[in-house]
Amino acid sequence: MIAIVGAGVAGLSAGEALREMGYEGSVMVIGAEAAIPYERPTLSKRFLDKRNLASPPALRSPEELAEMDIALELGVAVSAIDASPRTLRTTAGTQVKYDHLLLATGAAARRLNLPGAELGGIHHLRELSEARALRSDLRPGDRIVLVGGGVIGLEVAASAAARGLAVTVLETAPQVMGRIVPASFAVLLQELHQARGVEIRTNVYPTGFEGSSGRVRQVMLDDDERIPADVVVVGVGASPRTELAQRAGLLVDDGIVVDKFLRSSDERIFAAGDVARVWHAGVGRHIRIEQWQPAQVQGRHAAASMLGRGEPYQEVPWMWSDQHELHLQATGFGFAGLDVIRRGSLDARSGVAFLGVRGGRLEAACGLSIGTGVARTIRAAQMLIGRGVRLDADLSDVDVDLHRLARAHATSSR
Amino acid sequence: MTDEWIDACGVEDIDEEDVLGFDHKGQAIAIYRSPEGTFHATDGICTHEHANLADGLVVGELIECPKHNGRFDYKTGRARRVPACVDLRTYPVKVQDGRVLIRPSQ
Repeated sequence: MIAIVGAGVAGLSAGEALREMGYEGSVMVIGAEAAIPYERPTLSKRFLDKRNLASPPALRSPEELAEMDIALELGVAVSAIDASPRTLRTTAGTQVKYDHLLLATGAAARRLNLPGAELGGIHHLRELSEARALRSDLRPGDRIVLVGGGVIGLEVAASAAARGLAVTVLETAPQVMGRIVPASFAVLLQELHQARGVEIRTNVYPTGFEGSSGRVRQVMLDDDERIPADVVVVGVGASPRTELAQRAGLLVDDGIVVDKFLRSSDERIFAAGDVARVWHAGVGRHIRIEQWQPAQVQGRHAAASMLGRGEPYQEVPWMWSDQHELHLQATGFGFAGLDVIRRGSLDARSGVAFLGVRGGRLEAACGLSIGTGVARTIRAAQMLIGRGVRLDADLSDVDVDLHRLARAHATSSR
Repeated sequence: MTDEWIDACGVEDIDEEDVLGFDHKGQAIAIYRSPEGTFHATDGICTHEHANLADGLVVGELIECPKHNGRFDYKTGRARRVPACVDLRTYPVKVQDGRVLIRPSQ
């Protein structure tokens, strides 16, 4: 019996991978949310701006999971893990004896500890129930304030603008999207948002919320300015859901600490996805990634490790975002301290890309296109980052095909 | 519906381990050249969300959707990684006199 706690993309990908690799024992996925496992990234995008979408798309239908002989327990939390004997208990009172256990419990939207933070009309966005509450609170003509200019804040900003709200984004840092993009990219993105009716203000510090009749009316800033708001979304990051792991006595440090095989301090317990602080064999340190595609890859790695066929986790993180009609992708380990090379233009089908280089080696990349034209550049950059090779070519020249370079260096490795 | 072979491109128009988009009367088709040099064709639009597969990368036997990195086996059309769940349609391909011919409707 392999038990998987968490029915997001990390957990389900692990379950599927176990079957693909021929595991014949029982597989049970236990999810705290009642909804059938769904594509979480759509919550801030299609699900918000398309009112006719009754539910987010399913990751896998219950029928598909049944066909794979993966048992699904939804709307049930795990209340305790006993490492000896290896047993877990659910809030439904079920006891499950496991041979291996995967914790893929994800992360929860971080709360702001500010006056008025409990007022009505203030939302967070991580789960379907939160997305439904937010969606029903978006009324054309209303004013929405996004506290936090990260991916969630900017995606919700674009979705709310599409729904006809007046949108303001407040970011405490000098630029949006943090360190996964360089300042030059953030400036371009901010201009594009502003041209589409989204006001973005950086270097501003919210200090609290004021309301009337229990509902938020304005956001207060540290210089005493008050920004009118009918609805607020707080998007200031996420905290790993580690309570269960902590109670089970696992090593936890802003995430469940796992080795390069996704194995925790208990050799029978693994962790993957947003909750895992994983040893990344490529960069040689523990990192916690809050991205969808890496969560999928980690789930698969954990599954292989459980079957004794583990390989070191070393894939370079990759993510996408959709904002207005813009498609954005980023890869690597952040742009801090890197030289930035800009190539292409948003007017071109292949879009504009920003490459982060140190000592001739690519370490990060991000880009924007209308449509998916930038994907080849960013995906090829992801391969080149992973291979860690010195590049002599002029990377600013769009005729230098990064995919060809990546193939040419396919045999070299870091 | 016809059974005609359509001249899509030249053999040299696609690198090995790469993909090329081809428009046949408004129908998007993706044509692949495998690392071994064989040619294959599938529907050109991802079955998950509307995305042009010719913008994606070919890695070995898989085509990666450019938008969300869903993956398909381009030889069989089989969906291999979420978020892709629904298989792609495949189309017959043959190489003749240095040209790649496809038969879009089977």
